[in-house]
Amino acid sequence: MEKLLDVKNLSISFETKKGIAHAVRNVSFEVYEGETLGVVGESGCGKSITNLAIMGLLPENAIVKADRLNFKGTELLNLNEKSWQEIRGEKIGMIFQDPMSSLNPCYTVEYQIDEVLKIHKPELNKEQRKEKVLSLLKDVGIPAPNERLKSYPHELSGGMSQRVMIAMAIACDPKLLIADEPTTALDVTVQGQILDLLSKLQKTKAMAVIFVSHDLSVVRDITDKIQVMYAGEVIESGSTEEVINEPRHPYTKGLLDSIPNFHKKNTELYSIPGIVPDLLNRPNGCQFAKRCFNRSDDCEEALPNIEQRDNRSLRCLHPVVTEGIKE
Amino acid sequence: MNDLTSEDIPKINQLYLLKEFWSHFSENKGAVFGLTLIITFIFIALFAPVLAPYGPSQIFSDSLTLPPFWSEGGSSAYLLGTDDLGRDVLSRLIHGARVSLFVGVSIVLISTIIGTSLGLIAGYFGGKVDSVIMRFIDILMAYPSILLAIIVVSVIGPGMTNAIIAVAIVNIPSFTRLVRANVLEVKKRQFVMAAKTFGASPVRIMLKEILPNCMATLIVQTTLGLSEGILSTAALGFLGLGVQPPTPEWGIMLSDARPYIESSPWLVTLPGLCILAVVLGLNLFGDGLRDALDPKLKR
Amino acid sequence: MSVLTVEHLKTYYPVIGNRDGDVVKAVNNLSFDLKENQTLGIVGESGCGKSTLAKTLMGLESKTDGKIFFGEKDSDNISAKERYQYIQMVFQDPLDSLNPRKKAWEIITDPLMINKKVSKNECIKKAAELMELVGLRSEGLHKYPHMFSGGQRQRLGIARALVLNPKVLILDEPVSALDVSIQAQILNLLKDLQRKMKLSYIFISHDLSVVNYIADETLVMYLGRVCEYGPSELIFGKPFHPYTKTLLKSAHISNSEEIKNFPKLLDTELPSPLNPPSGCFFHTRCPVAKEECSNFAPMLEEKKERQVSCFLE
Repeated sequence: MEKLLDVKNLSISFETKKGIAHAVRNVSFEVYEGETLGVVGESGCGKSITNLAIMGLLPENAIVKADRLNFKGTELLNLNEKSWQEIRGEKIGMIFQDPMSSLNPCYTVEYQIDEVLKIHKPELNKEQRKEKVLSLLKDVGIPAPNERLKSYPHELSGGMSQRVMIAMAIACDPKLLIADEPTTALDVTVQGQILDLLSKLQKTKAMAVIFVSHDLSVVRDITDKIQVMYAGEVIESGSTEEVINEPRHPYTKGLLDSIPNFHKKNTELYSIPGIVPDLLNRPNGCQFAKRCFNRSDDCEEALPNIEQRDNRSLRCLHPVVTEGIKE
Repeated sequence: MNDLTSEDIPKINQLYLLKEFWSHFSENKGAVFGLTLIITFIFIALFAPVLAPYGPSQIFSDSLTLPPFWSEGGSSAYLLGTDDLGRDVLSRLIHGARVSLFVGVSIVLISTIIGTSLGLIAGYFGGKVDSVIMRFIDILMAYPSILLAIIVVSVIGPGMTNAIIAVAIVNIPSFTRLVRANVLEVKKRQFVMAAKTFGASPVRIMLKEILPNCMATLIVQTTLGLSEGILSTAALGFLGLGVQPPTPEWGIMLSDARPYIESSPWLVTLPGLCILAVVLGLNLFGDGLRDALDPKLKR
Repeated sequence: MSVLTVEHLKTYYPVIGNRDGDVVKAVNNLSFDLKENQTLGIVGESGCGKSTLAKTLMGLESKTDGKIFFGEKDSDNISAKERYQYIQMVFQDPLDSLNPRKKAWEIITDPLMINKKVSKNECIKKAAELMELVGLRSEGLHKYPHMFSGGQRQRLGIARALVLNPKVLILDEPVSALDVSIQAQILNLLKDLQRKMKLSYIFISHDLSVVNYIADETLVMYLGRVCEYGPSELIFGKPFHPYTKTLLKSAHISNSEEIKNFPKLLDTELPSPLNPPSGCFFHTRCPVAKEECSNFAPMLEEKKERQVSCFLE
């Protein structure tokens, strides 16, 4: 399979009044064609910012550095606004958490999808575009698409709006779709439908998907690879099955243990003590050391390197040894 | 059980917040300039009797319409000259600051209290109450403000108190509309609902829950209202409908000096400059406040 | 002992701008019984009437019909003050539910100041006690909400709900806005407090694994009506109603083959509560619906040790 996205040592910092906040540090990952990468972490861990960097949508005061930020052979780091526009929407699509506020309330569904096509597929004429919009709505499973064309966003439910967002994101058959918590704002039944839809689209359109979520049960079902982020660093990555069944980083283990286990009731939940470090004033050494149950003195001396071992990488000096959470 | 301690969070105190506010505010040089103007103005107003060389109505019949000291014929005894009746212009301007400050603050007090209460009630209760109050406000706003002030004064008669009342009424709508919009936003938040779940009365919710969250915008509007009030009173004074002579009010000084606009231009220019400086200062300060307080609210 | 009994509760809203007297039946004939020291989980999609139920219990919405008993007392016969001291509420978004312009101690003791005559010193003392109880240091007494982290804010919200010593707490999605690790801390705290203070909870949530973890009994709502109500082990372990099964299937938490292979919903969209379907409200989406389902509404009946409203046997 071909390498689609190649990120090497991506660092993003923000200049603030109180100093420089290092939001993301030395993040490296690769996405191959047609695969799904799950990105997991708590709020503020840098998962959304990383995606915005890939889309070139970071605010002005962001400083982005990387050894490589390569999409299908195009170096993204030094692109000008014009070239970005060709990448965004056409080669990389993105859907957001809150579909209701991602659609412009002033325009109809048809107008909004049509606009994407107008920008990226100028060769299509009006009829062809209308046809394409209809087929897109069918693709994302909107019932009675003909009647929905003239609907305004407020007439749609949350699930429907997210489907329209997905239709916009895949309108130009992008090679990569970034889904940033696409189901968090939705009800469970709708959530399931949207996940099904995403997996189906991924197969039929051969898209790669970066799926960002804080919900491990969702990520487990939909992704092949997973990467866990903490305080702007990747701390563990590998195949989804392995990482979830046999977490090696104490943070990953802590996260998994804090989810109420469906089959073991009445046991106290494990909760990770303390709070995330201040990004303006990061501690030396392992960023998780202060909250870690497996800490030794050497943890706080120097930042552990990411180490590769049998298809998994890990940033920890004292990994947990688990017998695996078998169900 | 593990304790999340408050120590894990950087210590932030009032002083720190003030410092942060100042660092935002001081970025805007115009605002700092405005603040300096206002502080000078307030200082002059408070210490007028000490600062002014003479009384505001003291007449020096031997020196009528003397120009300021730097012009030909000026005297260092009357730094900014004298007017047609032989009164020291500098002393009158200094005492005028007092009148303007008093008038401005009274106007803002009255219009803020009435305007804010109306806005709170309209926004909180909504429905018919809202319609009645807002239609009344619409009527007030349908007239150009100075015209409305003139109408009110002509009904209740000229004079300082009446001028204050008139201008205060004119200023009410801006406060009501602002506060109402703010209330509509704040009342949707969960802490208002929470207050209801433990039995807080509507008055308590309005004053203790909602009003403090409207303060930032209200403070800004107050500074702008102050400048508008001073300007409107000066305008009324100029038209002879406001503060009555011989009170040293800048608007009256302007109007009194009209016949001498060619022969003794300083009589018109100086009070005009004073009004300009104060209003400019307040507006610059108000804008700066808005910029410094607003992102804070959104953060 | 029952601390809260609800019988045939109905809360209807008039439809704005509708002159025919149409109503939205947000809570439609709901009955349940909450025992001391127990937790009742209420599950359903948005728009199913969960929040209206909470508001009705708190007295923020007036009920259209039915009875609410706080212990022995009928809600019609008690004063608002008594009600507030009996039942309190914790909200979903801790930042939004705390007044940003008040200090921690003021927030916590607000209910006290309104309902009882207490001095400022007593308030501060009480607030310090409560902060200790919910796992916050009393140094935070004079801090504002934005100086606390998300989990700490929710602790403040819980402390405020406890200040009047209520018997019942309504927890309206108390952990949905929090990160997973913080969520665990709050859930542990809630369990801990329940044990210490003999509290009863009504736990409203859309997250089934959380409800399964904390609730002794669970009630599944759909468009204001009860689908299934009974002990949590039964509801989550051996669900009966097709809607419960759908919920479990969508949440990807059950291992049972029956749930995993349960057919998909017929219609992806929730019907409008303004114009609910005939018969069983769920029949438009129910993959196992029969003909009678669209004509007749099933009664809530005792089936397999729980109450279910479904024609299936």
